[in-house]
Amino acid sequence: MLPDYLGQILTRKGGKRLLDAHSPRRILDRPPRFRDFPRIDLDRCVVCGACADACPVGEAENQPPALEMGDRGPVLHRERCIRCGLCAEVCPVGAIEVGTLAEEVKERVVPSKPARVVVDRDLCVGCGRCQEVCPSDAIEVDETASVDPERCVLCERCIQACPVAGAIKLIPLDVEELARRWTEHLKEALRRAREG
Amino acid sequence: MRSLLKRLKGFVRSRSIHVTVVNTGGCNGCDIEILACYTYRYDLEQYGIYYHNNPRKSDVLIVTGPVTYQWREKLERLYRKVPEPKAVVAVGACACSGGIFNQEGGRVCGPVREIIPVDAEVPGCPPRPEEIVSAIVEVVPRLFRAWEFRRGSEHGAEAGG
Repeated sequence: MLPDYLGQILTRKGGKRLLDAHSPRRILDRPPRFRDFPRIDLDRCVVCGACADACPVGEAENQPPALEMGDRGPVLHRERCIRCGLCAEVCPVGAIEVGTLAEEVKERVVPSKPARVVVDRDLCVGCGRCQEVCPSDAIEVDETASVDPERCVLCERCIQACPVAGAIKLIPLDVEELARRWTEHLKEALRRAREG
Repeated sequence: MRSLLKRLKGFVRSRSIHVTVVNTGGCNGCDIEILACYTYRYDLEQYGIYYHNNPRKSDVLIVTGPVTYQWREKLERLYRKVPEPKAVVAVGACACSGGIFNQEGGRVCGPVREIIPVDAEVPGCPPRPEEIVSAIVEVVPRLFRAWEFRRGSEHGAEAGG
């Protein structure tokens, strides 16, 4: 304790601090859920404009909005920002950090889905059974069915309910997943051929 | 010798600062953060800066909030009441730019700097107490230290009137 104190005084900085009350002190720790000004990572930004749309501080006469979209990404005007953290919450790629709120938001950023449900429009008869069984209301039937990929949860119930074979398909976006499914499909076909 | 006297005066001035806090129509959030500056954690009085809500006796005017139309003339009058040397610190997004009130549908005059001269601005809604403390502690004493050297020039005419 005492050596610490003496060391603080004996250094040049410490001596200055002892004599001058106005020299800056160390910044205190941030409390949890503290919202700082948003730090924007322009390398990760995809320039979608969601943050500028979500920002509650709009443009006024001779005052810019708090978040303005530039060519390379959002531009922050500090004197307008109210640190609400909405920009960080809506960012789809997590390129905006707002103080210690960043860790919480990172958990909420949804990872991209491993597969996609696709409707073959030539085969679809528009019976609407897939719409009935879909748990997340991702399918809309209007002559032929169409899938909203954002709402789809990849439960494959629509594929089971579909009366036409191959009208609704699950297409994995991952190459390894695609290969695994293909080998499974081949094995299944082989087994059926042997039995039949 | 005279220069030394001026420096001594400036040093003493920078060690005893009285502030007046004015809320010109804000949401009271910044005032609460200024109150937090005077609690034990961020003690502003240890730097010789005292809360003294009387414009005629104070040196620093802390303005929070967007200036509403009702406050416009009153703020100018309040600024004239503060004796020289004086400094104005605009605290919060509202005082810096009009903040969230200064957009379509809002009825405010906008930033404080368009009405009275401002020496320091602290953005944030509300700013952290340590940001307010660093603005007041680092900017304002520097102004008061230099004031004796400046007073002969443009500031002298203002002080006389």
